[in-house]
Amino acid sequence: MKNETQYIELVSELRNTIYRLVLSITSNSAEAEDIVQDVFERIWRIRDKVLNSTFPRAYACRIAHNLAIDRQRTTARRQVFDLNEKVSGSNDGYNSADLSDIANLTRRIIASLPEKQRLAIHLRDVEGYEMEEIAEVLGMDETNVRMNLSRARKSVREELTKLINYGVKQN
Amino acid sequence: MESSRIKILVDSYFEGTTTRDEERELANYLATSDNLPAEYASVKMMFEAMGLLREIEAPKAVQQPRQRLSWRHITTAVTVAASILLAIVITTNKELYSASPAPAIICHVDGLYVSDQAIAEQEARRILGNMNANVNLAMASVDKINILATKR
Repeated sequence: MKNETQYIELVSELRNTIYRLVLSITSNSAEAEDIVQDVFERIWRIRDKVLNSTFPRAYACRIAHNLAIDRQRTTARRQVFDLNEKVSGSNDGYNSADLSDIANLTRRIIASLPEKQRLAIHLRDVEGYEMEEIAEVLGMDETNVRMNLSRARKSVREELTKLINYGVKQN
Repeated sequence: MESSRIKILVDSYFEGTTTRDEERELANYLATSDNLPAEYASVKMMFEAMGLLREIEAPKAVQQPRQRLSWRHITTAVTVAASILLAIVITTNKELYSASPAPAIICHVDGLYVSDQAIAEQEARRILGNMNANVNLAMASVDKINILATKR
């Protein structure tokens, strides 16, 4: 009974995080919804193990990541995900590009990164996880997490810089 | 914020060595600065994009996990199903639980079921008697044939 309550609390806390994480991998909202339900069921089945772990949300994220990767390998396809209905961007004068377009582009850049880098930058910069939690999810030490995070951030900046420079040339 | 401080934060950020507090400090500066150096435009873009991605919420369909079945639910369902099944069995097999005993003798006489013992015995004797008479008649016929055969 106590476990059931804790499970519900954990799932309620993590449903958006899990959804965003899975979405960053699948780029397909319908598929992400389905996978998230599978994640919840998996967490339920091993709820004792998850709830008693050092970092329950990190454990949950690892389950979500693994399920999403497995599904992606099975499906072996990507669909364009449109952020416009979810994001309310403001036009701040980035070379006439909408902010939602920048968010979309950033998401695509992140999605194209190697798996460890993608997970590191998503968990840190989107979800705000601490390094030790990210290390738990990735199954590596914090030094390696920082290395992957550094590479990911540099890649994202490089691609966004190209966009800005392209926009400057157009104008 | 001093330019040297910003440079340190940005460099540390891309080395992956900033703390959460330092990242918040950097994010706040990028969001509020009026004279942001051009070299930090992409960094600002990154932080704003990450913020937008963070606002994505799961659809209503995944707001709650699918209903879980507990052992309590399962045992309740099994008990109810068993009770219904038992009720069906009882109502369709009432004669099995009737107070009246089943008849000891049941026989078929001229197309009719007879459960009375005396009547059943009477009919049995009558039939056997008829059979006996027929056998005697048959045997008498056989004797006549033998006699005739012997005389020849």
